[in-house]
Amino acid sequence: MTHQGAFNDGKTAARRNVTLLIDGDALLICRADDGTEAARWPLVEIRRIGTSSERPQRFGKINDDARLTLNTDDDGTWLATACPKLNKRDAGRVRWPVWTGAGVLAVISVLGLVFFLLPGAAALLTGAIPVSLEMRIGSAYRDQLLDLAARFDGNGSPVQCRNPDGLRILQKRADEIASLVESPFPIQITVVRFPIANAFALPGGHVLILSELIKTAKSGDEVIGVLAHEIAHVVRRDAMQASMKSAGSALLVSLLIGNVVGGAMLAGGASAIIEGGYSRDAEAASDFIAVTALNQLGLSARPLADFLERIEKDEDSSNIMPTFLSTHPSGTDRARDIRALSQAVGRAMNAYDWRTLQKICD
Amino acid sequence: MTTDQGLPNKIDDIKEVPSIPTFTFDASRGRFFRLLLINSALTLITIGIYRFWARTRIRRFMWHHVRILGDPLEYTGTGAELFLGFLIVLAVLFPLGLVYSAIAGLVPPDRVWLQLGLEIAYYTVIIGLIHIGLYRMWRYRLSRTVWRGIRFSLQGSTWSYLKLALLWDVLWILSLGFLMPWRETTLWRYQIQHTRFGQEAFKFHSSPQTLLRPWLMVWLTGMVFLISAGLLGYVITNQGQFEIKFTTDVGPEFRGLFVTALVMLSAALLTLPFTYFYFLICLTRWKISGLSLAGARFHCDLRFGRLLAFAGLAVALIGVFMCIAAVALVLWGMPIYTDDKANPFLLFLGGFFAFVMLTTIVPTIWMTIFSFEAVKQTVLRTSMDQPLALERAAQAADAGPRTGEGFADAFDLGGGF
Repeated sequence: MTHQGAFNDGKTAARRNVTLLIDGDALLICRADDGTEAARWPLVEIRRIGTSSERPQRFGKINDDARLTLNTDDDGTWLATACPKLNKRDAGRVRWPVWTGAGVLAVISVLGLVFFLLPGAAALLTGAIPVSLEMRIGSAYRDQLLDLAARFDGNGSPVQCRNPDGLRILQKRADEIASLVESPFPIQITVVRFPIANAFALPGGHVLILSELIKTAKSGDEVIGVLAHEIAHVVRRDAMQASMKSAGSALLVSLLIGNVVGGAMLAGGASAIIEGGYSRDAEAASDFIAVTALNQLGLSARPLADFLERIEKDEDSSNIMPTFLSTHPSGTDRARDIRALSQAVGRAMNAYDWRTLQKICD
Repeated sequence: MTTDQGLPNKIDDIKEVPSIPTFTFDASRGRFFRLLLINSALTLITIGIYRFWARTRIRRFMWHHVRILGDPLEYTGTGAELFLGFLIVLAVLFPLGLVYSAIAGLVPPDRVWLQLGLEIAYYTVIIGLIHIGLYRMWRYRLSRTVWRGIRFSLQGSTWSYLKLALLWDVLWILSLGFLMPWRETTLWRYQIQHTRFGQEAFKFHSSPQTLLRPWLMVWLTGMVFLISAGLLGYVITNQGQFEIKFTTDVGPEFRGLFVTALVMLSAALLTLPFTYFYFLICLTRWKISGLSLAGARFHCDLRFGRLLAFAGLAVALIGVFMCIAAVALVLWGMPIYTDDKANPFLLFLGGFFAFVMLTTIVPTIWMTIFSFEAVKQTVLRTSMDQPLALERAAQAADAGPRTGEGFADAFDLGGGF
């Protein structure tokens, strides 16, 4: 039985009426006007174009530009049942070596961007940011962290510790160290009630000390040692660089996953993992600056080393934060280096000041 | 008609009028909406990887429902090709960054002129990449567009186009935007004269003068905007209130100027979307009406009012949606936000959902209501004086580029398609 249709031979855009006939393992396409053969398509090479539900049904042949269109009232079942590979998706023109090559190069390129270019660009950009702007960014950052701490705390009491005597003791030493290392920012200390022993340098001279750090410390000298280290981060503008890096990696991640799906949101989380905190180099440099300043003030840096070692042991036992979020890696190595550099033996505060400082959150 | 050997006959033979309209569009808006929803969901689940295949499905849908002399356009591109183009862009990103930072490192920071030159070079490269991306995007799309088995293609060199485009960018900036019609003419003519259907080349006939009137409307409103914004800035700085503390408490000597500037600024801001929209309609009409292929002229009489109504409807629907979303956010989010004991994760989740809504629902509304109608009207309002001339086109040997749109995709230049 023959069927009718229209045929485009793939050489011109002309449309020719044809009669169709399945002849053995091929479809015979003959011109309607004179009955001569226009094409002979092997049934295994015929592919459907579009879906089975639409009218008219259209067909093509692999590696061929020719097209066959059935009449609108023809659902094409007669042809569909005869063609074994009607819906097969044929391989594209691109072969696997190209795919592999492009994939590998893309991965290398992204890794290079994350681990090499981004830190460099962040340092370059940080240098271009005016001090006043960085101070404003730092204040906003601190307020956000305070808000977050209040949420974690959850019992509604103020999380900021404001005992003026305790703050004065910290501020006095901070100002001494800051003027010694020529900090571009005045140091503004905030003590927060929080159950993790840690301290952060934020952009613009803000230093955040968590109350647990003071509780864990065996002496005031340890607290001052940590403070000196954070001030060194302030001077190096490490926090600002980290934010720059974070913004850069957020941009990169949103390029990777497209901006369709709340990209920026995921990007924020992902970039935190990418950065992981300051590099070993940044930590070592800050330790060096801190110890040098303490030496010049006649203060011993050994309490800082003791504190780092103790914190590392504690972290092993009670791991609240995953290590990639911790900003102070490799405590033992750093403690060794700090002891080697420490020259002075003076104490940062007397027993009375230390007791006052311990009551800063009361 | 053509002979069986596929050789084209003389033009006189094909002047007969076909029994069916030349261009028709028979897509259903409901199906398009469903396709967009499925695409959004799959893109969300695959954290973005599916977007290349999503875009391919949208194109296949749209192309397929444009019928020329009864036969549909066919989109033969694949999502894999787009994905490969994306991988290639990623691969060149790092070397490009390296070259830039190497040059930036060599320039001493105290040499202001060198620094300025570096900045200009940087932006030239970015804009250049956008031009290259656009040209390659056209090339890819045309090469994957087939009608009656015959492929479209874009010839010409990307470099020549880039040089032309950058030159006209400079002229455009130097003329404060006034030369837009001439820039459009030059670039569109280059593109069209290198566009082929099979072996037939397109030609472009329109002159920039037609575009002058609609563009002047945009340009003048733009100028009013800039001047009044400048005036307002001048008044505020002279009041010593340049800080973010913006107040309407202005001294008496400036009051008249302040009010004038404010009125002008609001008037320009309100008018600009309409003049620009009108210009875009005129531009589309002008681009299509200047075309000819194999001696047959195209004509387009796309109307302003209908599309404006659909744009307004889309904006209104998006507005309503945003209001509902805002109310929901307040009703659901505020108790959590103000409750200090609430889990911070819940807050994050709320923010994430709000963001997903904004980035997927808003474009979906816009595309279903407006983009769909824009394509439909453009197709339906286009005609040809000798449509059967299309049948004379013979296949060309070139099969087009192997990979997808790369830079154009990275910069999202496709406007949703």
